[in-house]
Amino acid sequence: MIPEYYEFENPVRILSGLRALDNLPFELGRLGARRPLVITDPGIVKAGILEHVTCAFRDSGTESFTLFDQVPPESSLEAVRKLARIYRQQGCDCMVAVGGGSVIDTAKGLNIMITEETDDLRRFVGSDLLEKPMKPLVVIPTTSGTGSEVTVAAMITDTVNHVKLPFTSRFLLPRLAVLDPRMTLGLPPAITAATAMDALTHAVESYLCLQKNPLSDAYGWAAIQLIRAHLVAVLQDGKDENGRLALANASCMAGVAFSNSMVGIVHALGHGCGGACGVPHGVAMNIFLPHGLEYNMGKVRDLLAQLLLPLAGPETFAATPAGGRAEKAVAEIRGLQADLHRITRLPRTLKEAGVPREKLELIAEKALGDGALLFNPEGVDYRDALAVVRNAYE
Amino acid sequence: MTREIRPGTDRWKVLVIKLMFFLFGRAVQVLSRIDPEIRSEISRWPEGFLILYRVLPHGPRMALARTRAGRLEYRGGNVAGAKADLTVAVKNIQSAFLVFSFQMGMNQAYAQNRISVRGDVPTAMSQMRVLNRVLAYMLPRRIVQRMTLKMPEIRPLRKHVSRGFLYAFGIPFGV
Repeated sequence: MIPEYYEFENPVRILSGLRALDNLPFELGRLGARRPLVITDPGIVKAGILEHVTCAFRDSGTESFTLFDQVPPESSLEAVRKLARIYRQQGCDCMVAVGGGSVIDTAKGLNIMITEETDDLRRFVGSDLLEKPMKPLVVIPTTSGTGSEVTVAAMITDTVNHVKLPFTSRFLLPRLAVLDPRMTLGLPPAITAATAMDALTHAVESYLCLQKNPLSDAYGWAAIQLIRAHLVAVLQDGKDENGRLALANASCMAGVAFSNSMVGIVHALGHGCGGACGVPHGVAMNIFLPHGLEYNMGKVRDLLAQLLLPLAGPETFAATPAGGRAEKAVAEIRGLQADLHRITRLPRTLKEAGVPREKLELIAEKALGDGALLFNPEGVDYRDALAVVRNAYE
Repeated sequence: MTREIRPGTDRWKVLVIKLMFFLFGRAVQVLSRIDPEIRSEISRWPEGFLILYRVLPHGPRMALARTRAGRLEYRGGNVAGAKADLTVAVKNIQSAFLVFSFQMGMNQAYAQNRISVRGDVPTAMSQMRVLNRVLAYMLPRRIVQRMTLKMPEIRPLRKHVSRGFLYAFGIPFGV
């Protein structure tokens, strides 16, 4: 069904493929950038992944680039301030983020600081408070899950006041994303599984939430198909380049989908769970996805039934009576959860993730402040959120 | 041949929206004193927190401020945008009319990108819950069900007594 009105935007240029990185210097030239600041974390350097970026600059006319390799596991205001000093001192004119969600969010925070010529990011916390086009930002993801390379959001932690600062603006969209499977080949199975479930949740929720539209549906649908086809195979053979590239594409497409359709209760609870108990986002998505779908079932039964096709394939879809397809779709996700637990021990419940029972109320309370609930197909109050959290406990 | 076209203004739509802003503003002010759930929501907002509702680019506006006593005060329409901690802006007068004539729910308006929010997201979510409760006090169930995703739970006796008070004294006199 076509919505009576919708908007869609994805201005990010995407390079995808084996050795896609080789084109990075050329693309930077197109953006008019000569002095890149490459931002990453110590793990990426230690794993030798950064070498692919360095190789891409060889014989490219780029004499040198500045490297910052100390992004902490959780992007922080201090790291952004430190980076801003380096960016200004070195006369850089663009940013290249090589890493997962934390590195990418740090680079987005840096871009706000540089563009707005400020040292206080807190002035821009919230939605749509940025009004200037930003410096060129290139993102080279090293995980396949967040979709941050094509999203409008960033989350920076204020480690002094212990709060997460969310930033949302279309100006935060990177200019270029490079999906090169060499960047994710060494990703451990547990992280591969958790991040893929984050991408799957983006794709599934994008198909069900109130802002869905035909274009976001297409991206979400294709992302689900790719994850279904390649995730388990990649977990069994981490060096499967084709599978890794497929998951990187799925993550990117799911990112485009949810940036334009938004997400719902699964993400709201996941953010609450991360804030209250520090459960990694992908793990929380894996836990809450089937419970969130069951909560929304009454409003989106038909849409969920459609998703059985990309989730399970045409044979299962055809063999399932129309009236049972929505439940079967949730069962397929639970089946995938079980596979991932068997292969990687990825937690299926909050208890397995080490969440104390006394934190359940706090998770529900925090979820209520999440903007994702605006777009959830079913209304959610505190009691509803708490009921879902309790169902997910064990 | 060229000629100048003046699109003009839908004065009656502007009037309807101004009237609805006044009704909602006064209702929020009164209910922030007597409804425990609204009071509980507002208690988490910083003192002096100012919310501005406006229709872009130069349409009607209405501001609410959180007082020291933990209530919301209706500040009318003469508040500068720069002073607001949270701005809820409807992008054009036609969209605002759809919402304020109850043809379109708030969530649907957000989902159709007709409303933009500038400011702290958790507080924006909290003010949405406040508005939903205010709607439930002010309007018949059938309209509220169309406007919100989930009908706020209010005991019938409380709702009807409060509604009577709202329309008899609260909105006309702001008490």
